[in-house]
Amino acid sequence: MKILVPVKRVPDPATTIRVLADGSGIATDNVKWVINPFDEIAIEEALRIKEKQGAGEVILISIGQQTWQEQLRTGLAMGADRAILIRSETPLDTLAIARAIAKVATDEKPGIVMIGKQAIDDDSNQVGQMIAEMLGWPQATFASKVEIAGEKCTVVREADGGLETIAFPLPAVITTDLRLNEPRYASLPGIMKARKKPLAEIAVDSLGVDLAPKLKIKALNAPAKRQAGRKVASVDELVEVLHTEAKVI
Amino acid sequence: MITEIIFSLCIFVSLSGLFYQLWRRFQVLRSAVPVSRFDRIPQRVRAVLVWAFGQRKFIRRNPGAERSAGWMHFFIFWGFCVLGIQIITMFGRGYSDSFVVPGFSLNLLGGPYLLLRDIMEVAVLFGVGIALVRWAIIHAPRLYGFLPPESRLREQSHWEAYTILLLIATVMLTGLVYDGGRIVSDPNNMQFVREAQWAPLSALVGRGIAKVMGTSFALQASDVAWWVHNLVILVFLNLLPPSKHFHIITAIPNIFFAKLEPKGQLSKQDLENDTRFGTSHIDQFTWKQVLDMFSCTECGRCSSNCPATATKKPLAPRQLLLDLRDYLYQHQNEIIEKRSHPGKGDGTEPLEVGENIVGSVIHDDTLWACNTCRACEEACPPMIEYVDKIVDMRRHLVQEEARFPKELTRTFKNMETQSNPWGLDSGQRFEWAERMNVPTLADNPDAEFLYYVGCAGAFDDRNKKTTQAFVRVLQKAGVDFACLAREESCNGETARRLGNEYLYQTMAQTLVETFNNHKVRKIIVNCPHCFNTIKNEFPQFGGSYEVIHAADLVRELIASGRLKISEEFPKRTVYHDSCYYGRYNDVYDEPRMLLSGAGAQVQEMERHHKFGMCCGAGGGRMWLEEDPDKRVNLLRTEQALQTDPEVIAVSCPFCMTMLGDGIKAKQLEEKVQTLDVMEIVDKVTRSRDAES
Repeated sequence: MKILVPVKRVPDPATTIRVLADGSGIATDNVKWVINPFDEIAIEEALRIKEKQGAGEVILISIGQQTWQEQLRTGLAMGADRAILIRSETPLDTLAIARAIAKVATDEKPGIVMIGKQAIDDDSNQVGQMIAEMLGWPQATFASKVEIAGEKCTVVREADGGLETIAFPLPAVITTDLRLNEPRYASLPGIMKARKKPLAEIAVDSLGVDLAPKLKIKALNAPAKRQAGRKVASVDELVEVLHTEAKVI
Repeated sequence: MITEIIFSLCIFVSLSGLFYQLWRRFQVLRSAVPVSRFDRIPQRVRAVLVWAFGQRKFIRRNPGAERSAGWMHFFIFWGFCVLGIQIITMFGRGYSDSFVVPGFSLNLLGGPYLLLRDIMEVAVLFGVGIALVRWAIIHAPRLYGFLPPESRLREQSHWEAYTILLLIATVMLTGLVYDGGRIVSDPNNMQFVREAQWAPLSALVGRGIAKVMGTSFALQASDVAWWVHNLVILVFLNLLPPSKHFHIITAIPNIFFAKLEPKGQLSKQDLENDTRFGTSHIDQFTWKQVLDMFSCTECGRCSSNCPATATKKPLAPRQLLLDLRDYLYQHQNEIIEKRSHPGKGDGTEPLEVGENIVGSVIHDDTLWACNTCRACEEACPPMIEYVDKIVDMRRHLVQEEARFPKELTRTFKNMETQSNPWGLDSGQRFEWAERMNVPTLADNPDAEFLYYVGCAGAFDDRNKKTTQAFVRVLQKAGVDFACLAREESCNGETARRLGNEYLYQTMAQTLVETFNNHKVRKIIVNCPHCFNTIKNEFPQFGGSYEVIHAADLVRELIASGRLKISEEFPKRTVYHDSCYYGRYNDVYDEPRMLLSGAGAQVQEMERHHKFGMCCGAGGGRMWLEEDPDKRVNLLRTEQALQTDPEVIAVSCPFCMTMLGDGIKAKQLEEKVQTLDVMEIVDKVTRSRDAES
């Protein structure tokens, strides 16, 4: 089976994010870039499905600038077969990204689009759902277990307050949650091979989809610094303060 | 005449057998991977004199090995060296009754030699006696194997040891009987009389036999002893190659070809051109590594010093080596065969010999248990290397199979993205220096020294305090130094020991480039792991610097008066040697001198200096989960507590974490402090100009 895995480049979660003074974005000097951890789980799951079935193709897709190749190569080193980089010099909003990926999916005809449930930078949690809608495919979001039998797929979802098991026919969109798997570490032969694997670049304009932004980021603000705590003398005083000052009880 | 023919035939059969076996083993060596070990001959000869002929590892004080066993070996070794001439003499007597080795007639060296020979024959018998007592009565665990990792050795039959010991004893006894019976056979033979004067012990044996059984019997006994002696020697020679006694032939070459590069320098892989990135098959070891396998005598000094074995982990260095050796011998023919059909570069190259040994012959857990502390190598008399083999197999696991304990995925990725194994934001690397007024190389490009802090000293809260203390010491002494601040990156030492050579090389190259861009010449460090890799391994990547460890620098500052000791530190202090300062780089005295200079009562654990035991963090084990019942740090902490200390002093941030955790686990934080030597120095010193 062919599996298409959209991959986003995000700052390493350990990086301390600094908002630019004018609020237009984040400072990117000294930021280490990695594959969005949820997308990495999606790559791992796609590779496991391919390995289990003994055949198939895992295709990575990303939308961004030339430097994004770096994360695609990392995914190829893990074992993906080829990658597509849709070149866009300006950042696109979620809807435009979903349209671009849906267009490629229409051409590539994968059995599954496997994508992280959200990206850890803006936490939109929209692209997977939008792709499913555009393609008219079933969607299984927040997957913590994926099983495939022929043209049917069963997914255990991490729903609020419990697990939900759903079954649906393929093709479908699956968005991956944290507990689905633990992504592998690329082997050295994998890294060497990845250098020679095909990585196609397509200009985003050539896809012929509507890229007009529907969303505009007006400003970014750093969260307020935590205030120092205060010690109170007794339980009575604590109750008093929580009641009168914090007004929580 | 008939005797001579039969005797010659015996010699011919025996030597043919011996040389055939040796030839096969030599072919195995030739089939192994090449490595250059023919350089620096004078240094190699010196090593042979000290370690082989001096028998230094046997007779020195060594907490891991009973010294009686060492003296046993000393006597047997020198016995055989001396008795070589006696053996040649006795073989020569098969053809001429008056044969002597040229120069050893009674008129020349012969007399004193006979005396020495007599003494050595008895000394060897004494040695054999010690060995038999150890095997049969004491049942020394070092001989029978440490459980659980050496269970295979323990189950083996030990007839080989007894056979060899009995053969040695027979050679000695028959030597005495041969000479004794001969010299008492004819009291009118002046030659015999003079020999008897020089060989009192042989004469005693001869006279004893003659007195009890008669003179003619003594002569017959001498003849029989001659046959037995020589036949035993001929059999003995053929028992060497297939047994652990092959070391009699290979140990001296093994010492001669031992590694002369710095002990802390692992081999550099050529990742661009190599076709494999680790060792997974028995024919992928170098010929020196194969010679190591030939040379193991199964004495167990390695395992008795191994922290993994001591905490009942699956690794015992001896069992690891024996498992490799046995597998090598089983596949000897295939290895030789492969060499004679090398393939023509057209895809017909033969496959690797045997199965993938990593995971089958040597289990993954065995390899991950190693602290790379080198205690095994320090203990090994024929100077077998273990760490290189373990790292080579780890390289296969990590780089070719990407198979390792899952917690390491985080460690590797943390190093890749944030350039530190903790995975903390690399932007925080210089936060320890806040309000300390520490110059950076950007501010002070001509600083005499670069202080390379390293990840532990920059990111770990406890070790940041050590870094700050050391910086205060530098500032008090007015040392002209600077830091790289946020430009500093991890040197990758952990990755290399864990087998991730690719990651290591990336990191090492980056850091060498940073150093070279700043034209750095002198580097101060306060971490033995950083010290070892920058000093000993960075030259492999075009980075050669003068690397100075903190204790060395501070000792000089105090000696030159730039730093004054103004306070006493009158505490019972036990110093724990870090492996990478100690065994790897022979840094033992400087930290102890600083401690005693500060007024501390320096105490030693049973295992210290060369025989110090690892804290449990080395070889990347800092980042691996450890079974709560098998913690090296707890064992080492207990050893330290036996000296009843008020302070445990360390000079390594990882030892600090491990022993500090050990003290916490024992709930003794109130009573026993764990301090870095530099923290103690900071407490007791003031600058030259400060008012006292």
